[in-house]
Amino acid sequence: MLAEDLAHFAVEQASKLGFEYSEARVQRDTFITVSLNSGIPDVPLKGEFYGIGIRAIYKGAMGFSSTNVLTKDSVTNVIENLKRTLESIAATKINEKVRMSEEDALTANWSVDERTSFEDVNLDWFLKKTRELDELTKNESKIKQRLIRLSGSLQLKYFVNSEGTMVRSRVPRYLLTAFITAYDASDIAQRFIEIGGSGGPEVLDRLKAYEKFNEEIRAITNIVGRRKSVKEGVYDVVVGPEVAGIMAHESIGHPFEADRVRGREGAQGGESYLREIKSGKIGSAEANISDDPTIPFSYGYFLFDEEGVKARKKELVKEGAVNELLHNRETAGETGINSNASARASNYSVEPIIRMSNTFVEPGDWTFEEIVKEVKDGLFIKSFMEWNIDDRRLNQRYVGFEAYRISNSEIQEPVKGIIIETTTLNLWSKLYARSRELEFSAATCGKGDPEQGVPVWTGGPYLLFKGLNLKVR
Amino acid sequence: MILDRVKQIISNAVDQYSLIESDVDEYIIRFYNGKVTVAAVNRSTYIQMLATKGRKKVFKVLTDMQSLEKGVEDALKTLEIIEEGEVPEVYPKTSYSNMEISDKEIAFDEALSKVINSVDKAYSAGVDRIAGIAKLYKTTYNLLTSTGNEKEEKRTDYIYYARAFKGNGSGFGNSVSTSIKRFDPESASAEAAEYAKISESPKSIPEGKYTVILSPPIASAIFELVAGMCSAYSIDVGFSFLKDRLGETIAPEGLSMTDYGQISDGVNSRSFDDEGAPTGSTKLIEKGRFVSVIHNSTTAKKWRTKTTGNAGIIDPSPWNVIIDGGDVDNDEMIKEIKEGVLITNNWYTRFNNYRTGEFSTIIRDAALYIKNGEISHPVANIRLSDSLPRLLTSIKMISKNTKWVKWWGEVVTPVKSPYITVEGATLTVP
Repeated sequence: MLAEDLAHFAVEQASKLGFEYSEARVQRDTFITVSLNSGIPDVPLKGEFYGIGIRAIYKGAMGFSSTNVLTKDSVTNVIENLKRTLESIAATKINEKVRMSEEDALTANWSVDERTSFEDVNLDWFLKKTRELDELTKNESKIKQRLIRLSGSLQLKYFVNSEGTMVRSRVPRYLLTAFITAYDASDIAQRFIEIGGSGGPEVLDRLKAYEKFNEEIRAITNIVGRRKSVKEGVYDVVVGPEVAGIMAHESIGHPFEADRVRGREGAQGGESYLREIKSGKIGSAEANISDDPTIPFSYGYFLFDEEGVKARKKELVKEGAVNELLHNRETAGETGINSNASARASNYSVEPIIRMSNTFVEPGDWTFEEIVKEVKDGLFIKSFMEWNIDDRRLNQRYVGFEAYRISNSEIQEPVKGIIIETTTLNLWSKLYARSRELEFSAATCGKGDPEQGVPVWTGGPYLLFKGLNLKVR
Repeated sequence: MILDRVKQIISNAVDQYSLIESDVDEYIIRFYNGKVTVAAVNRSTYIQMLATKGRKKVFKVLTDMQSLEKGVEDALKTLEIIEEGEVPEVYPKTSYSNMEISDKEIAFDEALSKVINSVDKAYSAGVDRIAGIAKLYKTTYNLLTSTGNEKEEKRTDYIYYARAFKGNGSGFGNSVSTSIKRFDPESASAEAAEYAKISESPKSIPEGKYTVILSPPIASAIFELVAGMCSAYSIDVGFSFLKDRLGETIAPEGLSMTDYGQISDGVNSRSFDDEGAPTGSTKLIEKGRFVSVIHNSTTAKKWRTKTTGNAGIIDPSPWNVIIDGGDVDNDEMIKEIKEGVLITNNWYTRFNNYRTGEFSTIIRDAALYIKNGEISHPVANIRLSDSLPRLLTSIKMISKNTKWVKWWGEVVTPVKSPYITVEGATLTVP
């Protein structure tokens, strides 16, 4: 049970103290993590982050306050402290005047279906499952180091604001991560594996987590020591859903966060190329990228955001053109539109900010086989390890992990160290075809200061880029 | 005392425990386009609990103070069902340093005034806009262990960083201190503004190998990675290029790196670690040789050595890292370079392979082309693509002056670093 009465109390207190707007979120995040380091269990980690976060506007200035001491006195104290702080800042006359978008007040209860509730899953289950995964690796002679980790979490939230909105939610999540090192005399390969979703523990079965983990282990042991070098040059390149997903997330999702476009993340994650690109043209007509928090059992699932706005799918790029940005009530208010419910907070102690949920390239109508057949001499990059992108989200790099040569329309030997290093506009302008499949990978997206890691999916179909310049390590 | 409530429940139920209570007051002032966008006031109390019984162990973070007893009992139930294995050792009865390195209280009004002045100064210097953040902390730690260790410790920490923008250029400035007296946002903003102006109209350069000077922000980012890879856990798991290299020369003789548990302006200082072991100083690299691995009790047992006071219950980690200054001035370093690049900051470092140390990182903010010993012009859109072992052995010069760095995203553990000159660094362009 959450201290829901304190959320109402906080909003009442803020109103009494003269705040024009306030919202309060009581949130409890409970987690369990079990890890095996080359078969030996690390100390199991259990914990909870339970407290109240209050966001409020005073004389036009936005403030945030939080405490995990859940008493009326403590809540009153932090709100009074926040008012004093905002008064000090208002006196400097450099505070920004916030305009929130107008949104309908609503009441909602939502949760994720779980066959076995989080409270009924004990540590034994985590250990047993982690052991089963470790069994798949320990007889592989090329695998020399392995860290396998299984985490479960439960997020309970109760949100109210001074406009009469109330939202109650419950989201359990499970995440399998692994870091595998395989080598022989000639080659060392390292790979992160991340598979996760929202739901009961059965969500890992639904996601085929164990089969996918096993496929990854087979792939690592298959490619290490067999990877051939290729020459730098211009190639037709097929990328797998994992690579499509990171491309969508990094080069479209982040720069489409409206707070970045306005400059609010300027000192952290940076700004956005959308400050400069006025044409609205991002890529070829094949470039169709969306963000959708409502995908059932997804890792980035939510039905109402942290400002109590109903969530929906956002089509960020349609047929190569900018269609819609990710907004919260603050940026929507500035723009004169409604929020599209993109505000998220990683725990009670941080302000809600604009975030992605499940960001992906929309599937097309090709089959994977047809895509490979289209390539006479090229490369297939199924997964990646190293990647990065600049703070305007133009200059990006993805280094292939599991990658193969394509010759005469057939997938051939594994190759090593292929690098896609290009600009956003060049990348998406070279997109030629999309397959029918749509697959997702789990990730923790970072943003903001204090740093807020939130669960997301990234995904897409198999993509064919024609004429990409590739480098090699 | 909150810890006494926990002790009452567990003292007869477990063999060992280490309890750390942290009471944290956090003030945040965040601004962009020269305006404060949000002010935050956060107050938290939480307990980290390590408990072992026989050959069983559990670690739990407790934040629900209203149901503290329930949370502790849940951890004890876990101890019943968990499988047996190696257990951490809570440090025996000892004493801790009482080093005075910080203020008694947060000087909020003075800090706010410094932050406002820093913004004004950047605009006076002619930048287009500035964004940044100030974070002020007052933390009280309380330690209580089954071995009879008790310690109360109070800290204040001040962290500020800002980015100024001008045209297509930007600059970065950072100030970290354990005392308001040395907290200097104005100088940080002035530096950010200066670099923004210098880099206003950057030009492309061809991809290739260059001699580079890494300023303290990017040098700190590199050295933070190296210090983290000195962790025994990182080495055992595969997150380090230092496996089997203890005792080897990994850098030139001029390079020495030390981890300090407590030090003035080290904003991650504490006199004890998560197992109650006293923190001290650990030389990691001495005159170019990799001389120490950092440990908690679990990794120390595995490696048949003693803890270095760096627990982290699972992964031992550095506290505050200092790289010794060298023997040259920054200007001399520039004069020595016929053709190269001065790099002032970086971001988004990712590894292709931790065992080989191959990584790349985005060069961000001002990067300045050097020709015949002089700054020539700003450079755009470059990425450093290298390997840590190669980079370390290619350090040619180390500046006399050093600077503390800690900021969002790239330098999480505080690092005090000089400027370094590195030969043969690969810079790529998209």
